[in-house]
Amino acid sequence: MATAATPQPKRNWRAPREEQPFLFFLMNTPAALILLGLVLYPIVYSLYLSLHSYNLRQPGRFRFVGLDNYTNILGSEQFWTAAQVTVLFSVGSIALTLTLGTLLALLLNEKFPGRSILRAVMLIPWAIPPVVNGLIWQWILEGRYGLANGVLVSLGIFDTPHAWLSDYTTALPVLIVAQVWNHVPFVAIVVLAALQTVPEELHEAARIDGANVFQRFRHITFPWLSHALLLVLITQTMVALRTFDIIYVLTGGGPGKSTTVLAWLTYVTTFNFLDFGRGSAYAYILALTTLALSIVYIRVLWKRGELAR
Amino acid sequence: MITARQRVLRQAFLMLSALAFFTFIFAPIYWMTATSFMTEKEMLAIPPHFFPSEPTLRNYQTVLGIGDPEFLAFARNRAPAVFDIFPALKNSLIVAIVVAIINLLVGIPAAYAFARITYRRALPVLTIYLATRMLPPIMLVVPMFLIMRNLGLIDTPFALVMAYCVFTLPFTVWLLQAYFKTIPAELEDSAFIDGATRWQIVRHVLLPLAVPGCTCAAILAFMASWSEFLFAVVFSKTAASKTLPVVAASFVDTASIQFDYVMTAGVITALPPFLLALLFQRWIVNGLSAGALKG
Repeated sequence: MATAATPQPKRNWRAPREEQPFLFFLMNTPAALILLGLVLYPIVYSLYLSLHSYNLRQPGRFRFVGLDNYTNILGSEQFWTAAQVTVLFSVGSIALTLTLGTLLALLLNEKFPGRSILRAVMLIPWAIPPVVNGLIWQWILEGRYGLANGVLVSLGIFDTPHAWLSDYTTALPVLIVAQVWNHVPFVAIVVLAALQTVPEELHEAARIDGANVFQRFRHITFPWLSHALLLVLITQTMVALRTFDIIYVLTGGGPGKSTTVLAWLTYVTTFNFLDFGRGSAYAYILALTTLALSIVYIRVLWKRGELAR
Repeated sequence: MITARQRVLRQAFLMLSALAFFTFIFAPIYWMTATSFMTEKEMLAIPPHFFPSEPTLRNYQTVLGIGDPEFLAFARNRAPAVFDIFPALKNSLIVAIVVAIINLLVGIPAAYAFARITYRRALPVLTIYLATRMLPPIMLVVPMFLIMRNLGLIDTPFALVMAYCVFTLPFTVWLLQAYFKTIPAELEDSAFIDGATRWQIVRHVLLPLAVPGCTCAAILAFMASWSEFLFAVVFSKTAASKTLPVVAASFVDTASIQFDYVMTAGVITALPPFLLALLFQRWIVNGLSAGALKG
């Protein structure tokens, strides 16, 4: 997909042999200005802030502290607890989203009565704003009048309603369920698109050779999907690490610190405790983690050869 | 060989799995919608009523500030935030529409450059654009808050428009340039031979053919801005700039149970993206899968 290197001799209005950097940049100017001004400048400014002690509660006390914010964070128990919660939340939600999304895609790739209805409905959770997603689950899991309690109590599974969101053990799983609900459609769409490119002949040949459905999935479908799955894995990791909306609505990081992920800790440090220096350092740690993970994924998974399709 | 019995079992298994997925996907949406048509009394029924036995539009009327004045006064007392929903609807619409328009105005020339102008470093530039999407929004919101504060733009829709353009533009440019590249350049060639200028070619040949791609890009930008929450909650202080997600989430702080209003706010917030997703399902699915697979 080389953009530049397709020589088309006769199209002189596009001046194929001749580069037109001036025209290129002229047309990119508005986009580049917006992105430079509102991404590059904030990133640099954020780095600058993260090297300073800057708390809006103590005006006039803006001073350079070097890497102090970072060393304080890495030495604090708060950070490692949040890191642990982040890992639990991310691994749980990514594993479930990918599994359910792939299953849904495999299902939609088959022919059965009612497939078109499921296809039409499938996109809904993707379109629902995350805040609304959080609010819906908050109401479903409400401690007294919620639907989940109503059903479980009337079926006799629970004797009394359960306060899902204020219980240490259930708050994080609830967040994971809400997150999974929101993101399964995206995974299903991408995997389904990849599934539809699997050549039918491969399955035919394997069937004739006596491969059962699991062997066919393991040796044909899965390798064929691995490219799409890697991309979904990367996007879902980024999504999981930045999850904020549903935590704001559902748990506010609690009870205790049981759902305080790094993104939430960054928000609270900055906008509740108004510690912009430390908050910026948290943001940098989060961004670098995201970047490192993406690189690791691509390095480790890409080079396995299975991905080279 | 597959026997008839196996075929029936297989169909039954597929349909049961489909039913399980359908329930998981649809039940939360149904419950939100059903609750929005309930009275306060019915909402608090134990066990819950799966269907509203006396469905009412009163929650929606309250949001619009119409209906029985006595009830409106009661609602004002019970949940003042309910009267922020309507102004927030206006803010949300303005912000999302303006973002979609800016995306097209800025994105089309940039995408055209990537698709039709020869430049050796085009791919690196595009990669840099896309790389900005890797940044966690929380990283940008901290410095941007200070910048907007210094510019006096906190609590204005303008601050949100600027922030949302940052998130949506890279994907818009990417989607549009991919779309432009699928349009055969031969048509533009012949227009050029007929003596058309570059601007005329773009205006009369390329853009009319690119309408589906542009619509898709605009819709995705609209939906992303409509749903955004982090920047909205950080940048807005009053009803002057609060968007729907912010108002919908603001009920959470209050002690009493107000899910009849919250779910009404939820339906209003979810309805535009829901309708767009339904109407433009095919385009969105194509756009998303192309974006993820080739990106």
